[in-house]
Amino acid sequence: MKKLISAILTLAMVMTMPLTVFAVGQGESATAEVKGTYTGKETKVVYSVDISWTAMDFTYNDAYEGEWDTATHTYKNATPANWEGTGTITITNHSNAAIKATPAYAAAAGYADASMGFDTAALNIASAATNNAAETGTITVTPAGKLPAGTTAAVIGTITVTIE
Amino acid sequence: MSNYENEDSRQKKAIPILLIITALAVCVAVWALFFRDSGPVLTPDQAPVQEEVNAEAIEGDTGEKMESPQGGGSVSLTFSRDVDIDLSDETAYLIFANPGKSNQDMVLQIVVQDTVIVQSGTLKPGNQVTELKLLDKAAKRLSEGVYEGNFNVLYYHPETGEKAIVNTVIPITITVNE
Repeated sequence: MKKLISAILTLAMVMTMPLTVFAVGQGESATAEVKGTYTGKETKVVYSVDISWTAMDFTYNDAYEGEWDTATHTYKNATPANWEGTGTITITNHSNAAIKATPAYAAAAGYADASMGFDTAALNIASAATNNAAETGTITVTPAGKLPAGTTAAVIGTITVTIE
Repeated sequence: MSNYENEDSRQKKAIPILLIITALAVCVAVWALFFRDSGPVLTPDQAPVQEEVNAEAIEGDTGEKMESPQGGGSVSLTFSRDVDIDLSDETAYLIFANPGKSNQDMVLQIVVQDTVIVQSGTLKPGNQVTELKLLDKAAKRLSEGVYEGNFNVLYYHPETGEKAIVNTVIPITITVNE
């Protein structure tokens, strides 16, 4: 009997314990915070670029006035000045980022009258990640201007390829 | 005044002048030895005899060569555009490799505002560097911060040491820490 009374009293006490409740009125809605966390690794760009170039040996043939023809009073077999040879620079991009290759020429001291022309001001080469294959571009080098008389197999300048 | 007294007076006047001249000579010698600006670093026309002391062999590099056009050259470059410089140990930390498939030796320069602050020794194909010492007095020209600079990569024939006609410039970002 005592046990029964104790159980009834305990139940009554529990029922009367204060509880915090939030009323939700008509037309209102309950809110709860939704939390999210982002994790990720930044992919680092590793540049891997191959550059190859052909021999940059150019020959300048000066203009030839020709032979004087005493009968016609004119020069025969005249030839204008010209250059022999062209060069090629090939750039291959194995990187996971696009690159831009910009060629430039600097004449060595004493050879400022000779210059090098390029068939492109800058070569844009796509990332190897685009097609999962290395991408290649080519720059053609063409000489212009003239060389001083007596020049033989001299280093007349340097070509710089800037890889951006 | 006797001749003897005249001579004595002249000698007494000469002593401070000699001392000043000696002091000036010492100052000039100290300046020349320790403070004189040695001028810009010049690019070698022949590959340096000394190989880069910080060069390490690239792990797993087979050394299989690229095709090289007759009379021309071929190189391969692996690099990161980010370079850190620690002024406390006067060292640049970087990623730069001359893979074994290259047919040319390389010399790497780091240039900031037209000043060469680092110049490596010869870097043979199949080798890489992750740190390079700053040139003498370069650390004094730098302060903490971020700089835009360049790698200047120079190529040299592995047998003759002759500098190639083609070279490469690579824009980089340099972070200097004290």
